[in-house]
Amino acid sequence: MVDVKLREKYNLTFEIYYAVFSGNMTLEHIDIDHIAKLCRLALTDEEQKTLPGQLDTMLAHLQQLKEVDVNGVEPTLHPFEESNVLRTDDPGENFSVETALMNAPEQKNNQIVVPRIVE
Amino acid sequence: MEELFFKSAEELAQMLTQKSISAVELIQIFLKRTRAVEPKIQAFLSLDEEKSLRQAKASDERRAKGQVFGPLDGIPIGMKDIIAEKGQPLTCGSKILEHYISPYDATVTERLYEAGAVLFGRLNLDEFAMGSSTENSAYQKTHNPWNLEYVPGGSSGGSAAAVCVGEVPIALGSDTGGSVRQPATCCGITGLKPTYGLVSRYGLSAMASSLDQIGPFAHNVIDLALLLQVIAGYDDRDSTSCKTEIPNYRQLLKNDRQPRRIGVPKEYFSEGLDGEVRQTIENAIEFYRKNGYSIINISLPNILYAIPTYYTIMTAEVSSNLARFDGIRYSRRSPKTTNALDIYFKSRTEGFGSEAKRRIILGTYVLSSDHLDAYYIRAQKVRTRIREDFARAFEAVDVILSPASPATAFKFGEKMDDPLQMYLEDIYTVAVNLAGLPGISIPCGFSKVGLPIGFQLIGRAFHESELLSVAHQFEIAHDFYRCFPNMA
Repeated sequence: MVDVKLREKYNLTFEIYYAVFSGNMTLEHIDIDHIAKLCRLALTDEEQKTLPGQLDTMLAHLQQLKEVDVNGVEPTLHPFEESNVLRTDDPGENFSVETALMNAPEQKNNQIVVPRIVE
Repeated sequence: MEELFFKSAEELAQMLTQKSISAVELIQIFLKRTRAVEPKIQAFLSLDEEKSLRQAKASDERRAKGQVFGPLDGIPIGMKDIIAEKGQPLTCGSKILEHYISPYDATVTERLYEAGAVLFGRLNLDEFAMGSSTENSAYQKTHNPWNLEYVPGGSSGGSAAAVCVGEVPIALGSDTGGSVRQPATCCGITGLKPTYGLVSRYGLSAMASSLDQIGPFAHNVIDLALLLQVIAGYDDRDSTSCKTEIPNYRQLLKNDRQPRRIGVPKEYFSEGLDGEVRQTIENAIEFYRKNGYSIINISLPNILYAIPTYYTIMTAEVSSNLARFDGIRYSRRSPKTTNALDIYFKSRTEGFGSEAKRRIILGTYVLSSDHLDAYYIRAQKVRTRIREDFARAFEAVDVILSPASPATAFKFGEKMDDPLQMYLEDIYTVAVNLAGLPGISIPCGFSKVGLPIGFQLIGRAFHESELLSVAHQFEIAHDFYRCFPNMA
């Protein structure tokens, strides 16, 4: 059965779409609780309802990458080959402590205040 | 008579030179216009009238002494609120930077000061430049001046709307996957995404570092050239900045009438493109053909994978770049915390909107060790394939012509519940960022309901002047850049 609605929903190419429905490929599911913890995020009640479905839809779309032949292809890290041209190590003007800390949420004696970490 | 606030930067510069107006008078005209239309447009997140008047006064004093800094001296410019301007807010459209004040100037900001431009205010955007409608701003919705029920595009929607409606003649935005070109198209103005590395990213809050570029908005191509001239060039504070010769873009526009070879990729004119948009762009292609350009059909087979490639690489880089907002050093700290871990969780959860969370989570997933090879590394390899497609195409053509967005601007709320549909707004623009190439969007008509339509031209790396020239040929033969929204 070809569910065109589902193909449209995930905006899949026909190739991937058939791979999924012929059982040659499964659509992945994100364990959102685990991943959110890794990136130090919690979800609101509303996001709990909407995000998991949306993320699975997006992931299904990303799975199309699997049909591209990338054998022997080098990954692109930067659009052009020059990578990390570092400037010369000359000391220049720097921020004063006051400027560097002007956006700190809490500070005391020119230092950022955080809760006790080691008991 | 055309209103002064709709004049181009170059026309205004001529008036300043002839002393038929002063920079202070000019800024007052734009402030008055902004006060009049801003309640309906909502393009600005903040304005510093005192600062702009002070800068304008200094410009007039320079002019009186015959010490003009350049063609943009005394010209007002709007800044997307993601580019640092010392002493001004830098919210990035996010609650997490609600009270942040920039401690330093971005390189482009310094260069604008050196050119005498008057920095006019901070423009609205999707949170951290993530979106295609500016609806993801944590602060306000910017309206499309052509029809207030429609979005202005995004993420630089504030910059596009402000130029379109005459609040400023020129503005800066940033473009990671289309965030200059798509809103420019939605608002019927011109926008340029320069070659990666041409404009310094120092002081641009990073979204996806291997894709981000700062780009100019203007009513016409001449103004894009003037603004690009100021912001382009090597900067040792950006390790990805390229050492390349910067030509005189404005001068080259004057002398260049040479017809070129234009490639039309078949993949960009297939399903998913609105019929009215297609017809209008085909008329533009016909214009070039009639004017001696050769039109060559080309194929870029791997751009079919541009969206999944882009959304893998971009979300990976977003998850890494936004990790710095931890509530400890400079972003908003949640007041309800007891321990360090709590600060991270609550500050980030309260500070980021849903789109930021979606992208951080997806990016963390594609970077996690179990999925790194299947997604992130694979996407980087497909990115190589896409770059190779463009390189091959540019052996036979000089520029590539394509749509800039799949349809005209859409209504508020239309795509907010369906992120993937929102992402497909970028389908014609993201490949350009993946390949690091320059892209420009040019208005070329209106839909039946009166919304602007535009097309995109893509050039070889660092061939901005060729791109500007081909765009300019179209522009001067049409009057779309002289069409302005009718706002009472």
